[in-house]
Amino acid sequence: MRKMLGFALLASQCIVYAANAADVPVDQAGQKFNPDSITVKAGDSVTFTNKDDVTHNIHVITSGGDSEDKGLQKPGENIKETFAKAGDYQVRCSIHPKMKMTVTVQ
Amino acid sequence: MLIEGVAMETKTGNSCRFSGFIGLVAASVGMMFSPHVANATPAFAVQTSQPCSACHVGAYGPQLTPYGRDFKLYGYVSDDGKSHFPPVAIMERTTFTNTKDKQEGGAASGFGDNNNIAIGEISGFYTGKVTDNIGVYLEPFSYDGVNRTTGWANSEIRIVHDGKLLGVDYVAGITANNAPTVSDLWNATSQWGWPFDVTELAPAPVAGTLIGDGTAQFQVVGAGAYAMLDDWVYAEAELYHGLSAGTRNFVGDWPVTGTDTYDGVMPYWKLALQHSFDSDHQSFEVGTMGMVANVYPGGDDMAASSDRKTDLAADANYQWFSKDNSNIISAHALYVHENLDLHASEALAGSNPKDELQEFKANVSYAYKQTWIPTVGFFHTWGSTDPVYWGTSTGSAIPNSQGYIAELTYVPWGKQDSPIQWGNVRFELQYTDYTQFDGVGTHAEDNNTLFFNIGIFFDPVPPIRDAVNAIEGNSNSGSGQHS
Repeated sequence: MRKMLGFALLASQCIVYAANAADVPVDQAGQKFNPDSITVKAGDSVTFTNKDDVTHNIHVITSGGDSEDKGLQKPGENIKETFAKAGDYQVRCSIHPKMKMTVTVQ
Repeated sequence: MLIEGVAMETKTGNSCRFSGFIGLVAASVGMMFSPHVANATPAFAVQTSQPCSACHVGAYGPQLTPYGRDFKLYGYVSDDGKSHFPPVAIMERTTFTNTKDKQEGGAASGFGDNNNIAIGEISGFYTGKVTDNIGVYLEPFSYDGVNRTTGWANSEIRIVHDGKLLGVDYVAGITANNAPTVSDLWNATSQWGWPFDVTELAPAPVAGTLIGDGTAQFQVVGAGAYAMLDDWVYAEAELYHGLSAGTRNFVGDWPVTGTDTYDGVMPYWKLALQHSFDSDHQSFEVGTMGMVANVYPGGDDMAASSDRKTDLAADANYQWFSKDNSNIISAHALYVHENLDLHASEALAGSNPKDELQEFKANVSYAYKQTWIPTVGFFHTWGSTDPVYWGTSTGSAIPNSQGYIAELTYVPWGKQDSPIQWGNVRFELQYTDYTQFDGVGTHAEDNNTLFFNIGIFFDPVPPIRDAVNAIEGNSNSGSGQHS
């Protein structure tokens, strides 16, 4: 019974947490991110929508230089990235080198 | 009767068929048109999962789009995150050449007087990302089917870094290469300028400049730094050094005997203002360049000093893309002023102590659906009077040549919806009309040239990998985009 209560409490906390987390839209159009700089809270997510007619390949780069490849993103596809930890991140397209933006996570 | 002229042209821009000192000097001043090599490599298309048309106007190099210029500026390292090793490509060109008047004795050794079919070139490329900051464009192997020689061609290694400095975006890098202007992002100078393919089986004017005609290409190596600030200001500076005869033999430069030897350090620089705007649907560049080279004419270092060539040049480029990129207009112009301090030539053969050579080239192309590309161009070369130095094919004391070029190109593939992304083909029909040739207007039109070129360019790795995977029953080729 205690275990069930514990799970229920944990689940409710997750629901509250998810309900508070925001999802910020970022367009990829004209081989640019729009907006090219955003500030979010830890736990918020960002949804990148490829509105170009070319494929993109987003990388999320930490201030320490660690890079995570989010995979190829064909025209029309979305990629949702959750930023769990505070810090400064750079998001770049590895195919289009001028295409970059900053995400500040508080 | 065809004006007696240069019968052979090598990929190094040198000519041969002269005798004595005049011949040696004439060989040194290069050609009006140095044979270019096409240079969109399918290995880049595979590396980036982008069709040729993403980087190139006309879906087949070398004319770059704004994205193509970025790809080069950032060091050829942009990729789709997959491994496509090895990044190799092969190109072959088959040509047909007709001149208005036949060339007595043959257009080249082993060729007829006219209407010649030839393998223009078979080349091997290694082009791609080496590390996140290092990329290469290497053409270490190029077989010239006219002169039946093999050597290296346009090659470049880039190391690049980008970031912000005092709030300003910058891209900075190091380039090491084997031809001045091979590092150029635009398409007005010698290595990547139009016409992109020319025949070696037609007469060509004898006079050319360092920056406009690449008279030093593949006979030198150099390295330097470049930077783009805020996507507006571009600056580049390099130092080149001439290769020894032994090294030129090793890399396949031909002919070595009797041609120029570049002496000492040769500085090259470029400063340009450029920008893309209207969501990259329009872009422009205006730039200035310079180069200084000391030359032993005909490789003869017996004189107390060498000749000095000093080039000052300006280029201008403009591109317009319609909203869906189905219509593209490109315009390019180049002016070069070359001062010639002929200390060696005067001492050895009695040329003027100083000469000058100027040239102006301009062309406009229209690309329809990146498939049909008509282009028209104008060229004019003029210089001081010197009965000894120029060694023109006509015997004229002035090196002046002028004419027009019209070309229609058809590129069926290289687009997003093409059946393959690892290969491409280009058909070119080109006509050159001379109003003046090597200082003579009369009978200049006898050198008019009709040129047909078929270029095939492919990355051999993806089809091989696909075949192997098919045999093994693995559908994941990892060969990039296939639609």
